Amino acid sequence: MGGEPTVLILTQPFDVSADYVVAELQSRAAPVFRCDPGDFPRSLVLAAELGDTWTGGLRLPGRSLRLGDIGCAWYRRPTRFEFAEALSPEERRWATHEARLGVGGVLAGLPRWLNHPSDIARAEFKPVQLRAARATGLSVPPTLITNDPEAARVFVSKHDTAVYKPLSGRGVAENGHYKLIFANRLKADEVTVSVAATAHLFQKWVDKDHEIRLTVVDRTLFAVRIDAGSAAGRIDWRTDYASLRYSVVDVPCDIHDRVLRLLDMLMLRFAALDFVVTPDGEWMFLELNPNGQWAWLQDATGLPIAAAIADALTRGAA
Amino acid sequence: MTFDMITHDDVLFRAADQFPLGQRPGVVAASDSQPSDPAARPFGLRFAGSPASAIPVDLSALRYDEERQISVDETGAPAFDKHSTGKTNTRTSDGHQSMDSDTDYTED
Repeated sequence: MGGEPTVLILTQPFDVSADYVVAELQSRAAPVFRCDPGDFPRSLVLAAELGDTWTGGLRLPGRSLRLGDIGCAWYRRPTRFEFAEALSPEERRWATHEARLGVGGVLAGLPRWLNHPSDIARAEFKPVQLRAARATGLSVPPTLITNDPEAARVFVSKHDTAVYKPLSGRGVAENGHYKLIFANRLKADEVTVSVAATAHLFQKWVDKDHEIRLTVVDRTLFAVRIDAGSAAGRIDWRTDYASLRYSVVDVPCDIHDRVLRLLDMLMLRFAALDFVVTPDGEWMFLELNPNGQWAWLQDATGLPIAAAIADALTRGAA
Repeated sequence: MTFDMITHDDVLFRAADQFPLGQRPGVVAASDSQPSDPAARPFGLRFAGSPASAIPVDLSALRYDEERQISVDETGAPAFDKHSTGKTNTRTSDGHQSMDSDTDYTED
């Protein structure tokens, strides 16, 4: 291994947030190798041989990377493997599994990540992060996960008004359109038997003065206050970006310490956390995204988040 | 806190969860799946809506620059330079999925 370590970025080609960081790294003359598992096996080639560790490398047309030269890997938004159309669905399923265990297995053994994909996967479980948040002392709204319609009605009735939230960021593709599932306020009489169809998450509705998107990069916190200018945006700001106003705020000391403890528990170096701030000024944790977006907040506020990520990707192991 | 890993495809925690991969823009929108009967459809799906984009970018006007490893427009300018100008719109090349959504589109 010679020269400065290379930053490996795993993401799709059209990922603006990654572009910010690539540009930042290149401005520092830090070597970068960006690729997408979605290009495997058609144009992305892996050849890894086991010695004391995995040696060999990754190759794209016109570019290559030795595994031993990788300093830190960034798991951004990689996409799924794509195989030749000629493969049958069953052949494709088998090939996908082989690719995941082969490519994913070799890469998962890299020593330094922002964040390790397994840690991202674990932290995506909302019940895991809510429990961990509570364990750190963060305030979390009363929460119910159930497929029992009666339990849901009782819970919502007890809190007068509740919010239904999906457990994941996954949407549905129907009629050729992709739709996301948004948080929605509801009363007990709106709960139906169709809650029985799968797991549903309900939370007590918390009166909010404003919301906070807190981006954490290697123990540096970037807090942005979000004020929504529409009724829909006040329930779920993801529904109406155009109505949002942003301002940089300080993080209370107790929240700062608990957030860092939460990331330690979840083994994350990066996360985007959402809080509600009540009219009384209390910060209530809503959720954490271990791979959340941040570039639009840098645009809106000037916070140097891309630079912080570049720092994290080029910093030596602790 | 511990979290045991089980590596089978059809159990609660799968190998796929250890190396989660999403879909490229446009892929999911191609589904022609139809909503089920309202009585059978999960309650949460009544709150489905079109995703909004945090950073509006017109994917159809961009290409990936293999040398610079970033996406650029037809003049070669980085795509991210256009974000704060308001000159781009929220449509992607497929008309649906944003390239910079806050949501991961992971596999089943």
